[in-house]
Amino acid sequence: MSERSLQLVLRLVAIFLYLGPLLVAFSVHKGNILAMVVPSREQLDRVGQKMEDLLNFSENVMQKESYRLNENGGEAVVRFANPSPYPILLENFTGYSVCKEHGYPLAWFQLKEKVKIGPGENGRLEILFYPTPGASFHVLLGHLGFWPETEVENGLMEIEMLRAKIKIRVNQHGT
Amino acid sequence: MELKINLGLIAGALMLLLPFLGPWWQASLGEIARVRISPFGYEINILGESFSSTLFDCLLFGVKLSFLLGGALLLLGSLFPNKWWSRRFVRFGATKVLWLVISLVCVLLVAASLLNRIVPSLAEGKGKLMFNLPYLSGSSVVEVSSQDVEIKVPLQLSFTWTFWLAVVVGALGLAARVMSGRMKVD
Repeated sequence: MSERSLQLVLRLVAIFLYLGPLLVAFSVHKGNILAMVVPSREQLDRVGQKMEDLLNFSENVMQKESYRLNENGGEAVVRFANPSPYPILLENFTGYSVCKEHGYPLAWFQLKEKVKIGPGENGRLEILFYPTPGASFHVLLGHLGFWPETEVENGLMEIEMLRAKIKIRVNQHGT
Repeated sequence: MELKINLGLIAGALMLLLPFLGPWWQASLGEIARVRISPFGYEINILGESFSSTLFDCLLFGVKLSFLLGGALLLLGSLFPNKWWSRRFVRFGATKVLWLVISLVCVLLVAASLLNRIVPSLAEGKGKLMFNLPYLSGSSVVEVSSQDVEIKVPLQLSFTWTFWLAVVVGALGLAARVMSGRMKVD
């Protein structure tokens, strides 16, 4: 065999090694090029479902267990149900507790400490309240000294999930 | 003469190892998605779900076979430098790694360029999306925001040590090929 023939044989072998597996792919999918390139429908559907579950926070995610607020401040315990199939770290939850009737800011609140919640599990969030300077005056004049019902305004929940930092604005009524 | 043979031997032996040393390049989007690729295989994992494509599986299998053959022939050609087939064998295998390195870099550059154009347009009218994919390697943050939610996810791209080994093997192969041109044939 001459060097030239060897060169030709090697070229043909190289072409066969690339084309052979491609022909196998064609025959497996009976010439359906789209099916050859795109992942299966089942795979795409499974990921689509997981993406939907990722941030599926409904109104039932948070439920108040206890709540106390007066002129000296206060605290609340809220049960937080992690609806996602991944663990989450609740890094902070801040906002204003405002008078439900007048919308007057009575206290600023924040999460006492970070809370890690496993997938599908419940976590207890301890929230601390710090009265605003005019809170007592508003309660005295507007509510005859009785602390009124409040709701959350400008709430911001900071969550870490799958190394993603997520900020959710919460304006929940009837806290 | 001694140097020439050794370079081909080393490059050939390393070529036989390279397909089994794992990915050459990897990218991660937080823990949401991970991509690992080499010219011989790929792993695309989104939320724990792996994706595969028959076309790419077969194409990369062909690349792997061709590469292993190239490595074996480079090794043989370097072991028997005075045989009449030695030069052809060395030439067949010597530049394969270099072409794969160049191809991978080109594919990554084109992909980054396309994604940087396409992805931001996907969010038009639905919210705000800040997407700046680094070219080849580096890190950035993908930001998605709508009226009530803001999400920031770290994006990291990097070459692995296998890629840099491939660059070295490519250089060795090139040197072996250049020297094979000066071989004396029986």
